[in-house]
Amino acid sequence: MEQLATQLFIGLSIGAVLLMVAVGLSVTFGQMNVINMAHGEFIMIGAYSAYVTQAVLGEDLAGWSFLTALPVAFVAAGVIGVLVEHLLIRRLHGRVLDTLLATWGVAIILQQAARDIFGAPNVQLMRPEALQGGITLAGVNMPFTRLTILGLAVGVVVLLALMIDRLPHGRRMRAVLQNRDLAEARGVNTSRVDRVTFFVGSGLAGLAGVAVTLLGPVGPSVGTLYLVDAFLIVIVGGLGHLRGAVVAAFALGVLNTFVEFSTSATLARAAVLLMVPVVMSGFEVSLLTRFLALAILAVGLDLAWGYGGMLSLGHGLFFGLGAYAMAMHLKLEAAGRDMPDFMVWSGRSELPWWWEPFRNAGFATAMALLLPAAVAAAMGYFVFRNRIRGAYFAILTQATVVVFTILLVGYQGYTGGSNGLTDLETMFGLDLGAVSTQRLLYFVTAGALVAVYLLARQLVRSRWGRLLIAVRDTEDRVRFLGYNPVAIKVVAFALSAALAGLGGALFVPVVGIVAPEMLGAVASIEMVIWVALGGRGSLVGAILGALLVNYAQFTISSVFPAGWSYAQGALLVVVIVAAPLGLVGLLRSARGRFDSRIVPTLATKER
Amino acid sequence: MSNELLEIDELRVGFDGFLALDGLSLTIGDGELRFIIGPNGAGKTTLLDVATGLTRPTAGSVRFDGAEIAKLAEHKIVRRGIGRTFQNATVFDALTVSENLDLAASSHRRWGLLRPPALSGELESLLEDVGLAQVAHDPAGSLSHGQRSWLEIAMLLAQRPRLLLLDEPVAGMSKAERAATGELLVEIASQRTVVVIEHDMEFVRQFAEHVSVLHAGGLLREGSVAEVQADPEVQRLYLAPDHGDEASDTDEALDANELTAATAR
Repeated sequence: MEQLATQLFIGLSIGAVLLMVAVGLSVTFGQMNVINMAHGEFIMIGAYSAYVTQAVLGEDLAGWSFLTALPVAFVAAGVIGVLVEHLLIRRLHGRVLDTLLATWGVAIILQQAARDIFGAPNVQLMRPEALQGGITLAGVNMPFTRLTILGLAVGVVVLLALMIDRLPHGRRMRAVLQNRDLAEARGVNTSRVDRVTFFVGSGLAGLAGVAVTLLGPVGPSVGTLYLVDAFLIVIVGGLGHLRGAVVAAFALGVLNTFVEFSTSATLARAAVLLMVPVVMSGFEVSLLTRFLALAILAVGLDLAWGYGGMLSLGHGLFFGLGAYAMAMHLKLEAAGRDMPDFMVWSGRSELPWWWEPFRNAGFATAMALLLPAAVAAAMGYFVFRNRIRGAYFAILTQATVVVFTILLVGYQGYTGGSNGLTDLETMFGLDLGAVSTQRLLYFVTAGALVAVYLLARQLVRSRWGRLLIAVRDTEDRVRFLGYNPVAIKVVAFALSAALAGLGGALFVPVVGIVAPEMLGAVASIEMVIWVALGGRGSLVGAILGALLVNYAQFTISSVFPAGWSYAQGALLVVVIVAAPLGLVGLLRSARGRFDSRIVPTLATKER
Repeated sequence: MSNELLEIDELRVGFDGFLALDGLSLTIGDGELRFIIGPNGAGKTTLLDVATGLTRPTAGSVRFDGAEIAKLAEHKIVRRGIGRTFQNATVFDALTVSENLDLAASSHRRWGLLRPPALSGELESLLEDVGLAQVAHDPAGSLSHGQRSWLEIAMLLAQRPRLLLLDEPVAGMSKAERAATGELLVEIASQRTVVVIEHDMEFVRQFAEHVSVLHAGGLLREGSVAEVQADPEVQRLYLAPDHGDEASDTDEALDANELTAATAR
């Protein structure tokens, strides 16, 4: 009982951090319709501001560093936030999804910058003496640090509510929130209001960053930990609704600690094994095969996003379902008559019933395609039927993939946990390590890619493909031609998922392993980057993007690891801002200039 | 008298306490060409929105060919035979003119959807009729305002609906374009039932026979153009003597208002 109450209290304090992050996110989204993926990095900036403040003040003044850090972090995060707003977000006004991707690029850059300046390992701040210890109330241990965080969050929310309610800026904010055009017509300087709002929203994330330093060590990627949760809060609590955000934040914080509390054992064991080294013989062949498998996924993603306007930040889920379906078969093949090794380690004595059919190669292959398609169809049906699209859809897919990876990691005994399914040695009796097998896989994968490309091209050129574009641009109008856009989108999304599953199924035998990190939230966004860089709305572009980006990642990151993050982030920002149709779009418009023919400028259209 | 195709009974539509339609009853006979006029905010576009499923009524019924349709999904209403155009002509900018037209004519297809778009002879001549044959392979996004409206009308015809609802088809058109559109409407009306919402009084006088006047969400008067024009209440409300021919400028200003209101919704 006491343990429960202590857990509850810890949950509340985490909820308090999330709340400070989420209210900032909520006001910027509510007012400017901007999904700022770099918002998490403002937490990181806040945390490092606290770190720097403490270093500058030295040991004598360490007791004051927490209080000093609060305004410092607020201003530091706020200023960088305003810079991002001024240099980037303003220029992408009205293009919600593009803003989302471009700010993701900013996030990558900021994270890498922190890594270069402060180093990759986490840093631990000294806890102010005044906050040592705690009080015990009715058996519940309440450290002063966590009480401080709670107080800080309550103070922040009250101040923000007062500001919105009382101050002139708050009035203007509400005006812009309700009707931007009208407010502008009435003489409200909306871009100034945006700037102030963004400053405050980012600053609040900075404050959250200072709070986080009280909880434990912080690192360059501390922001990503909180961002997804903050998005969930914003969605659950209702956009622009302060009260909803408060309730949702505390609920999620509490939920979080309980889930983590019960799975921490699995997590600890998970970090034991490292990735199986990729077989060196025939290495280049296998490398290329890998990229080709990813290109199949990119074609699928392009169908959904480039043609259908459904930006999925969760294609890792479908890739993962395909990969795991194939990997389960390979795992059983590797185990022979025995149980898969990880199940034995987890103390299981019997194969789960749903593993049994995966002994059959045909069943596993079929599942690799059907399972993602079915999940996508079900998800798509409920989402599209309720006319959820754009950024909401994107965040929803991202949340789904997060849940999926949590499940994968949590059920170690069934899924291999965070190690994934490893030691996949043979496929249909062939040694996966043999050069001849690698060659064969290469031909199979290349053949599959060609077939997928031809199929997709046929589809895109058909009436159905034209309809998909029509739905992307003007969904409501399509209804009045007698089509049901829900059906069109569900089919497109399911097909896209099936292709991602196929990519996953072909990827697994090449690398001989599948693990949750290959298909998590970050991996899912990287998949979108391939298509964005190559050129959405062009099948060749998607394939090129997947091949080039993965090749570049491989070469650059093996020579100069930090360089890759910068390059990827910068490329993403540049492409979204300057060439929304990617490489292929650039090539086309260059050719168009020679032809002096009008190239349809769909580029600036919101997808 | 022909039988009724569209029967609207005691229709009520409220937006946040504001009643856009307040107990409107109206019937359109099979084969009729009906003009609906009325000042801004009278509920004309809302009426079209309800009849096509875009807006759900708060109360009342909409019957098409004897069957209640007020609760059907938009695309199902279209499949029953009601087609519409929008105040600001909406076509698919990224697709070519002929692709736009082909899609409009293909909603009944099943496996045919997997084939590339192809114009039948009938659609080709339709393109000729609306003067877009020259630009058939250009993206619709490159069309002029008038051409877009014509394309939208052509798409509506390609759908082969029994009832056509047109929302200010000549808004923003030149005089010559207006005349051509009017003639086309009369020709269409000889085979189908057509309802036209219009602001332009000169256009109404020229082409309308039967007119319904909406005001404040209800039906004010119904009759021939001459009857309606002679009605003192209509005159007071809407057809003020000095509101005659040079009204088109203010009309367009009002259109813009209605448009923003529609997008805000």
